[in-house]
Order: sequence, then C-alpha cells, then structure tokens
Amino acid sequence: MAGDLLTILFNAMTWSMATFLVASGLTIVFGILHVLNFSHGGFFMIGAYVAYTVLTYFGFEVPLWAYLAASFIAAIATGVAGVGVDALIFRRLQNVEGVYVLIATYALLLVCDGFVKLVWGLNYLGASPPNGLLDAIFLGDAILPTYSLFVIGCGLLVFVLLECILNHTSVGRTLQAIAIDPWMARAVGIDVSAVYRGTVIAGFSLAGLAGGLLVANQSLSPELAHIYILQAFGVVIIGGMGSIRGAFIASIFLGLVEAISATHLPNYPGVLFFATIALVLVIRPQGLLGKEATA
Amino acid sequence: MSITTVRPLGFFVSLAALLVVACALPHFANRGVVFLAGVVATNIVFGIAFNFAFAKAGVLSFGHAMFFAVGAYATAYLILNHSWMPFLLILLIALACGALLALVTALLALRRAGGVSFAVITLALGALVHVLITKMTVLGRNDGLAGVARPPLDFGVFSVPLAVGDNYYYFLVVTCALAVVLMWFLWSNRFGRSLQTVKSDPARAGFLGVDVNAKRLKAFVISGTMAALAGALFAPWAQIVSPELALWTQSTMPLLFALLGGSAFYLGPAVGAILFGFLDYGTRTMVGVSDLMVGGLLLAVVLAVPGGMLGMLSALWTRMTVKRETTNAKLSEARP
Amino acid sequence: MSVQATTPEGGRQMLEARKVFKNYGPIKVLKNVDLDLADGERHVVIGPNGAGKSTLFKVLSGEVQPTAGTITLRGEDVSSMPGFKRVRKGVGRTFQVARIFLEMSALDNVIVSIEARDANEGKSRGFFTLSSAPDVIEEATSILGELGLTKIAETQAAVLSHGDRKRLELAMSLALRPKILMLDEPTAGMSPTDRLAAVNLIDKIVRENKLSLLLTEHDMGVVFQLGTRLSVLHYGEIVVSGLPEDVRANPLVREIYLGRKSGHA
Repeated sequence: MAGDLLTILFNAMTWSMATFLVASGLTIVFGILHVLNFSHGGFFMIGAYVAYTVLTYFGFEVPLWAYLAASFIAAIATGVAGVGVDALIFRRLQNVEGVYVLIATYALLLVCDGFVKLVWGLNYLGASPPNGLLDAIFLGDAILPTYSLFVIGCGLLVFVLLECILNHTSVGRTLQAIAIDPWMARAVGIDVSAVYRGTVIAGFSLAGLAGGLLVANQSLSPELAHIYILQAFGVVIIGGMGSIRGAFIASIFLGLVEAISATHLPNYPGVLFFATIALVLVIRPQGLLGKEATA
Repeated sequence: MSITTVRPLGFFVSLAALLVVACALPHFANRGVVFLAGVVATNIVFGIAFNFAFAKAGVLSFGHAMFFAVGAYATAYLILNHSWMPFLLILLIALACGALLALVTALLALRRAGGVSFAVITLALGALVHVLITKMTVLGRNDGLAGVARPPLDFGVFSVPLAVGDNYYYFLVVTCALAVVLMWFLWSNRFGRSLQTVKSDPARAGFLGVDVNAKRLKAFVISGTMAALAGALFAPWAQIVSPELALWTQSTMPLLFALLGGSAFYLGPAVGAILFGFLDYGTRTMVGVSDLMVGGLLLAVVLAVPGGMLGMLSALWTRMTVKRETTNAKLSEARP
Repeated sequence: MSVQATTPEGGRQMLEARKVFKNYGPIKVLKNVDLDLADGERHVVIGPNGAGKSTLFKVLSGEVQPTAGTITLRGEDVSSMPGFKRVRKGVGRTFQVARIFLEMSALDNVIVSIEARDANEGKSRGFFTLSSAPDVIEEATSILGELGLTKIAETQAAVLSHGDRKRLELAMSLALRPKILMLDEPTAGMSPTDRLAAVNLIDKIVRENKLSLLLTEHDMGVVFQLGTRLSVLHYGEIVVSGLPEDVRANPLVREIYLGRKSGHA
C-alpha cells in the first residue's frame, strides 16, 4: 500500500517537473514581455522531434552524453528559429492589441503543428531513455524509474537556477525591474529592447531544451504541443501569471491532481484537471501566488 | 459609419445575392461542390456566431468547436434514437444544449477571468468536451455516429421530406440565412450598441449603468447557441458526426473566418468562410498543409492586414472616393 | 481627527459616507472618512497628491468596495452595491482622464448614453428597431448644444481635444439625468481659458438641472468659484470640512499646504 502511494507520488512529481520545465519558459516570457506565448508549446514539440532525429543516429544504445547533447542541439535549433520568429513576428507584435497578440502566438503554434506533421508525419514516435537511465530504483513495493528521477532532477535544477538568477543576481534584478516598469528601466539607460529580444530567444531555446530532455518521457505525436501547452497554462493560471515560485508550486499541486485522476478516474482524463482550474478561478481568481487585481 | 443610424439595404442585398447563388448551385454544379456549399453555409453561421462574442463583446474563445459539436451530436443522437421527435423540436433541443454549455462556461469563467485566462479556459473546456465525447459509448466514442437521416419537416397540415433530392440543402441554406438575419438584428439594434460600449470601454459603460458582466454573458450565450445551431444543421447534412468536430483545430476555424474576412464587419466571417472553402478544397489532400495554411493565414492577417478582406476593400474604397472628391474639387477650381 | 466647521443646511443627504476605510493590502489609503453631500450642495474635496482623493471617489462611486464603513445614497445603503447599480440610482461620474467611446462620433457617444439610460429605466425597444429613435437623437443633439459641442457632433471622439473630451464626458453623464454628479478633477490639464469656460459650464449645468455636485480639484480658483462646501483630505483622513472661506482661514489647512511639519502620521 505504501509502495503504491510512493509510486503515485513519484509519478506526480515526474509530471510536475516535466510540466514545470515547459511552464517556466512560458512564465519568464510572460513576466517580462507580458505576452502569453502559445507557440512555446510548439517549439517544445519541435525541440523534442529534433532531439529524436539526432538520437536515431545512435540506434538503440544511446549514451547519456549523446542524450544531453541532443537536447542542447534541440535548444540551439529552436533558439535559431526563435531569432527568426522574433524578428518576423514578435517585434511586430509590440504595437498590436492584446487579443491579436494572443491570436498570433496561437497561429504560430498551428504553424509548428503543421511543420511537424509535414516533416515527421502523423505517426507516433518513441525514443527510449539513454544508457544509465534505463533501470529503476526499488523502494519496497515502489518502482521508481531512474529516468523519471532524471526528469525530476532537471525540474528542480531549473527551478533553483531560475530563483537564484532572478533574485540574487544583478541580471535578475534588472529583469525584474523591466518586468515591472519598462518605461522607467529605459529611462535609467537599460536597453529594454535588447532584453526583450534576448528573452524571446532564451524562451524558445529553453522550450527546445525542455523538449530534448523530455523526449523519452512520452511518445511523440503532433498533439504534443497542445497537450503540454494546456498543462503549462493550467500551471500559469493557478500559480499566478509571471511568478516562477507560483509556477513551481502549481506544478506540484496539479501533478498531484493528475496522479489522483490517473488512479481514480482513468476513464475521464482531463476532467479533474479542468475542474481544479475552474475551482481555483472561482475561489481565487488571481491564482495561488498572484496579486489581487486592481480595478 | 454611424452605429446609431443603420442602413439595412447593403446587408440585405448582399445576403440576397448569396442566397441566389447558393440556391442556383445544385442546378449547374456537381455533388461535391454542392456538399461543400452546404458546409460553407454552416461555417458562415459558425463564424458569425463566434464573431458576435469576439468583435461585439470583446470575448475571445478558443473552444468554440465545443458548441458546434454539442449541437451536432445532440441532433445526431436524437435523430438516431428518438426519430419520433419532430425535427424542429430536435433542433430546439440541440440549441438548448448549446445555450446551457455557453451559460455554464460564462458563469464559471467570464466574470473572474481576464481575456487571456478566459481564452485558455475555453481551450481547456473544449479539450475536455472532446475527451468526454470519445469516452461515451452512447455517442459512438472515436467512431462517432453515422447514418444520420434527414428527417421530414412536419408542419402538421403538410410535411416536407428533407431526405428527398436537394430538399435538405435548400432547408439548410434558408435556415442559415434566417440565423444570419437574426444575429444581424442583435448586432445592429440597441442591444448590439450596448455591447459595443462594453467592448469599447467597459469602465465607462459601467458608469452609464450598464451591467457589463451580464451583457458579456448574454453575448456569449447567444454566440454559443448559434454555433450549436450551425452544428445542429450540419449533422443531417454530413450524415455523420465524429469527435473531430470538437477538436481544437475546429475551434480556430471561426476565428480564421472572422479575421480573414474582417471581424469589424458583420458579414466578414461569411467572406472568410467562403474564401477558406475555396482554399481548403484546393489543399484538402496534403497532410499538415491545413495547419500551416490556417496558422500562416492568421499570422498574415494579424501582422499585415488586421482588417481582413473587407477591411482592405473598405480602405481602398475610402481612398478612391477621397481621390475622386479631390479630383473633382481640382477640376471645378480649374474651370473658369 | 475630523473637524466639522459647519453643518449643511436643510435638504436631505444625497450621499453619506460613514467611517469609510479602504486598505490595499497593508496600505491604509482611507481612514475613518465621513462625508456628506446635501441636496443642491457643491462639495469640493481637496488634498495633496496621494491623499487618497481618487480612492475616495472610487469607493463612493462603487468602482471599488470599501474595506469598512457605509455609503448611503439618498437614505439607501449602497455599500456593497456595484458601480453600475449606483449609476442607476442617479449617480453620474467623470474620470480624471475622460473615458469616452473613442471609435464613435461625439453625437453617437451621447446617443448610446441616452439609450443606456432608457435601458436602465426599463424602456423597451423593438427587437427589429435598428436605428436610434428620432427623439433620442434629438435629445442628444440638444445636450451637445447645451455644452457647446454642436460643431464637433459628427467628429470621431478619438480626434477630439482634451478639453472637448472632458466636455463630451460631461454631456454623457448629463444624458443619464443624474441627481448627483461626481467629477474627478474636471479641469485637470486645461488652459486658463478652458478652465474658466469649464467652470461656468459646470455651474450652469448644475444650476439648471438642480444637481448635487461632488468634485475633487487642485485649482483653488475653481474650488472657490464652484464650491459651497470644502473638505480637506490628508493622508486618507478628512481633517477639515466646512464653508470654503472658513476652511481657507483654518490654520491646520495652511500647515498641510505649506508643508510645515505638523505631527500628523
């Protein structure tokens, strides 16, 4: 019994950290540019597919370094693509009304979907975890795959890194300043535009990196972007827009919800997820860590 | 263009023209084209319904396909399992289902969620509806419901057999036209004007005594109900309903129609639906091209032509009339 | 800490605020505010920037809910009533930066205001009646005339000057036939000529329509020209309230405005 519980909690954490890896990039871009980037999910997916393609060169036995290298290649690929997307699209969105920005990023997501379908087709693809992460740890009745530990580790690492950078470095403080008052930041000489550009490209790179790291976490299909973006949005809504800490806590919270849903409502996936988001909205519209909305 | 002095002529003439073309189609076009025309007709209603919430009330929804699907499935289910019901009653029930879903969505999320959150909520809800449909055996799960008959239209004294020949097509086109007219009245009358104030400046509207939340709710319910009507009319036309109708890709369709045609114009989504009908027909066999095309078109419209086709034409017209006026002015000056 | 110099004479209270507190998190913006607006009175609230005038307006008009205290409108408790319902009870409000419908013409702005009023009063309109009724258009035109805006009736609101926008907003508020008019810095950003015209206009409108007026202002000229009663808001508290001349002579007020440290928190 305790073993089952441990397995469930472990699975919950795996889901949480995987989602957090995606949600964190989304949160940063939203926090600084105040744009909710739907295409973040699309680039996550493209990163995963790119990593998959790289890994096929290694056949069945994928060394750990290759797996990580593939992730970095994916990050570079999406980063480069991000430069183009930023120049062509994001820069032009600065003067566009909010609703249309949302539509534009959603359209970009569709383009990513179409791209993936065109290049890789509609079939499900699967990548296996690299050597060294193929076995599992047995704690009593509980089976804890080492790959899942890897995913959890990645999520925690990213959280710690982001918290450190944002709150304990001058770069981080600059970013926070720009997020709160870009006009003032410009007035004191910060090149806000360059920061925006950098943030967009960094965001896309992070999406690709997350995709590469998570390529063995689930099967790959063109639905991946939509699945993860919905999860990430759920996290952002519950955690409060623009808060990394909120996203982290919300990821864990929703991970538990998902675990309960998988064990007790396996025939109705998504119902509990949706019900939770709706409930949080009703009780605390600004999210768990968000600030009270002004009139 | 004053919103307080409405000139119905332009609208009714355009609609009449569309109707004439639509009704003439079965006489000279092949079956495939006629089928497409029927689909486009429902898409027009779907698009205008979506645009009612989007352009008039400023509410963006990424899950509108759920209304279309609810209407379609309700109709299909009732026709297959309760064929004794009069067709008009079936349509009414389908509408009620759409209205209920819209009401629940709006009550749950419209007041509390800002525009972005609401859009995401509708996305999540749409995904949920899709999943629920695939899980329900009574709705045919992943296979959907096939063999949906076209029931007769019973008026008591006489009945119109819609299953015969092109009868259902004409019924479809006429009903869609009626729905378009109905929504046009809501768009243009005092109710539509008050929605406009809510969209334009909600704070000011509130201080004119307008219950902003109630208005948005009403607009969204109207939007959802009419989208359900589109789906309800679609079910006997296609004679098969499947879960794809509730997929998020379907939710982007009315958005595309509205933006492509010009969301500021009442018939914008109609223009968009027709245009897209042509495009989609031409590319229907290519995998992945559909997503690329829809996404690419949306991006192009948002970045380059935010007013859509009608917006472009309207700007062109204004420029030409101004040019003509200045030319006339110059000519009359030159004359001794 | 509230000093009542004189009490208003006669008439019932149009608006009453009692022991109003408003906190934004740990920040106490309004503390124990008492405010009255009698029938026909012109009550001006002044105070240094940051004193809480905007918040006071928001609380009184229903834009935000008070943390504590009661607000009464002609005897009725409206403390938890949302803004749009208070408007229906006879409150008209303008904003510091005029809020108008930018994409409509000036005339249309007033027309939709009248239509909103009709809707609030339950006057039904045919579903199939599309254009605005001729009497509504007529009324809108005459209101614009009253405010000297006839020339820009067909102009799109977005291109109107700052002064014209404020007058248009006033016209829209008037179209509601309110009993109470709440003006948030009605002459802010105006040139001296515009300001004089605005003051005369407000005076005329308030007199002709027998309105009760509550406004915030920075310009002392406007305060003494328009006001029959003056209240001073300082760090969220009403420190002085009474006839304008009495308040002006009050040494406390001098301290506040001349900035000498007076020991207030």
